[in-house]
Amino acid sequence: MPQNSEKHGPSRRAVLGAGAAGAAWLAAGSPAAEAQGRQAARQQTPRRGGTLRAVVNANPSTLDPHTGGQGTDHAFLSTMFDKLIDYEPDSLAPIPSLATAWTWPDPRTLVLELRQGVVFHDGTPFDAAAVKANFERMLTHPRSTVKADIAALASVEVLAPDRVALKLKNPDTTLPMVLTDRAGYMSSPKALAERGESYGRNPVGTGAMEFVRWADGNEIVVRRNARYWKQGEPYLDGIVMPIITDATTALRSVRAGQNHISLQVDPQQIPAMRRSADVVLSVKDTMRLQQCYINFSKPPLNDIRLRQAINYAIDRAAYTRVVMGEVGGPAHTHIPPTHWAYDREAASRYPFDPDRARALVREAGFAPGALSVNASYASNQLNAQRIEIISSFLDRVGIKLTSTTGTLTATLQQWREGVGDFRMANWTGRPDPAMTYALLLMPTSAFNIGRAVPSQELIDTITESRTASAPEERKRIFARLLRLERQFALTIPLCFEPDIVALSRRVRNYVPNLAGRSRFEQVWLAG
Amino acid sequence: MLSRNRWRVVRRRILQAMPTLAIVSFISFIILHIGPGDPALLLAGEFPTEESIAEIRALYGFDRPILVQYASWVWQLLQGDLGRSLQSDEPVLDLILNRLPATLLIVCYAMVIAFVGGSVLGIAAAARRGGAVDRIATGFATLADALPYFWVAMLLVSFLALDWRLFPATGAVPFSDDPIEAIWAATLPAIALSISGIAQITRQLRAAMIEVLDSPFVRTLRAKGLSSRAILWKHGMKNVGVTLITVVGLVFSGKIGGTLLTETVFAIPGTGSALITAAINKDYFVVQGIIMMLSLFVFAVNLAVDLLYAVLDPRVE
Repeated sequence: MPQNSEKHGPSRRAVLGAGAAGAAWLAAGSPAAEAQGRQAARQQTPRRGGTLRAVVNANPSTLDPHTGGQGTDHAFLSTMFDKLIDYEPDSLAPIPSLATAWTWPDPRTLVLELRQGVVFHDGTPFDAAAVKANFERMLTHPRSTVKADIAALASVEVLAPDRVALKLKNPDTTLPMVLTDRAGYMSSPKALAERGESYGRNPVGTGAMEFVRWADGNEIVVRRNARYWKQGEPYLDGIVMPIITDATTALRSVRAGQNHISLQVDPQQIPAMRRSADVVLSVKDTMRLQQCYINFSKPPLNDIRLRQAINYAIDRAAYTRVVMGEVGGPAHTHIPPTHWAYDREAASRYPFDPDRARALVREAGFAPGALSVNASYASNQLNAQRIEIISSFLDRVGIKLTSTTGTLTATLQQWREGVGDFRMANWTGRPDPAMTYALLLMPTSAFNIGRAVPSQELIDTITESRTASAPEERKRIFARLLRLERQFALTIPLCFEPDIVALSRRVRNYVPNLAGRSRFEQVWLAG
Repeated sequence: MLSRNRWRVVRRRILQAMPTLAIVSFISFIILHIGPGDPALLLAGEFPTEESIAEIRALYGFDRPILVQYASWVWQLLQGDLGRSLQSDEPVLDLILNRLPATLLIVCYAMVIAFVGGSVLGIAAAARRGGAVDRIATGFATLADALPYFWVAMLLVSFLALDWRLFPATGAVPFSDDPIEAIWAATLPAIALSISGIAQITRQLRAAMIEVLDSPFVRTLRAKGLSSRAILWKHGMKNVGVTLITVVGLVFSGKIGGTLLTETVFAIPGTGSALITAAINKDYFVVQGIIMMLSLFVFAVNLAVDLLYAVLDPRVE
């Protein structure tokens, strides 16, 4: 059975190297920033102390990792919680964290070897019993948002204080990657029991930082965990995470010297930021992509020819240039080119070919201009621009685009009720690509809005992708899966969004990752 | 001390406010609920399933008829419970009490600026009617009313915070932590928020003062040889008091509910930014709580204005 252990993880040197590479990226073209990148690479001895001020764009839904629901929560959670399994920032390959190794003795059992000597911030030891308590809560808590992620889990067996077996109802090899996400964050069982419903406002993990306070909608403050198991870390005395919902305002606060880090910088602001002497930019490709779900259960887009026509009609390179400026890359599948599961053949299925698109529309029985397709999207300036671009491409091949728009919640509900033929929405990616395709295409998933079976072979391949565990075998299965999805043109991938972060010139060792989830716990501040 | 008569006014006003608050709460509750959008979708996690959405609906009672949900909220309210935020699980009353000081600080600060600025400009314009001061004051009032205040806010931040670094670009310091820093940090938002208030007070005060200065009793005073300065400050001010109180009351009521964009632009953790976030996320209880709070403020300001009328003009009594 495949096995992963600590020796397979990156060394500390590799992580620091990634930091230096991060700093070099960071440069992103500006001479001043490049100088900073070089300086950062030279200045590798971390400086201790100081309080980082890192702006996050949304108040967390809760600080209980297993009942929260917002992507931005991870910026807070990763400072206070360790996950059972972590990921390598560039490839997202699993690496040891609270679990030092994991093995599959049989396809329905995942055994985790746990790190010894780790304690939660409240002094409770981290052990197999704590892991069991966390999983049982994830499965039974009425507001658990990770129940679906660990749906395959039947029970947890404590084999030894540092050894635990996860027994599955059915084989699911995505589980190690699931444990790099929300379900992998471990809370103190003592704090969970004592604090009950208020735990989400007063969390206790094993992470580099301890929770201090959460001033709702204002800021979250954490301080150094003196008993942290990673020797010598963290470097910072604490982190203040001001909550500023407006990205432009957040950016201004970094330029004004009030804060050190601002997330989610708009690509349109890159030229202005490069002229600014106060900040450097971190630009890192992520799995987050702009795309459209298709309701392939009802006319007109239940006709494969029309879905293929739309995919041929869009010039993704031009779209990316207009929407993202000088960053980002065209997306032809849901897997970015640097990812291990990427398949070149699947990605080359739909080159920009308006003639082919027009022919397919005609073949489907529609005269030019006779086909009208409705797009659903949440109303904001960026989405409006994106829909305009798509509309102009579709117009050229004789497809008229109408739209249904409103607030995010309103349009989402309408989409669920069957309004719209495709919906423009970002896909944030999942640690394991099998989860992405299962969520997008399985008839049981809320994202397959019409609950239609796109192709039995495709469904079988998705199932197969969750049972195979050998890396080479999985890569072959994913190549087949990606090609099938493209053959049936079940989505409209558009472009990958980079993670753009503005950093004050004092910030060192900010390591962006392919998951696009900002983490601050390794950062240190230059003098 | 309030006279017996005024106590009667206060009691009557409070009784009159009850149905108004009930209607406001009902309308806002209904509008929020019948509008499209389902908070369960946002609460069910990053990757919701049909089952998890249904569970969330049942857990929070979103599957009950809307009137039952409203009645349940009113029943909680009557017991002093404003509920908990659906997003953060924080008690709504705590959330409002935590955020109100930041909003009150910028609103009160803006009112001081608007009152002083508007009074000076209005009186100067009326005293020098048709002159350069009048033209400048009326021109400013027209322009200030037309300018979007969030645009003014952006300009202020750009020049005074980013270029010259005189003020912080964003954020608020709690008044209880450091009053001086708190006022310093609130200066730019307060100026941005006060602009239209200055315009309104200038216009109203100028018109009222001109009316007073044109009235027969002022002619008599002039005929008796009273100086223009004495007429303006002694008799003019006394007679525009009611107008001034009215317009200040109106501007205050407008500002307390009008901090939404200012708070967003300056990243101030006040009730305005909380209302925007809650409305977007369909966080019903927070929206209801803040709307109730705003309604109470408007009611209190109107009551205070009514009572002050009687102080300034005994005929009102």
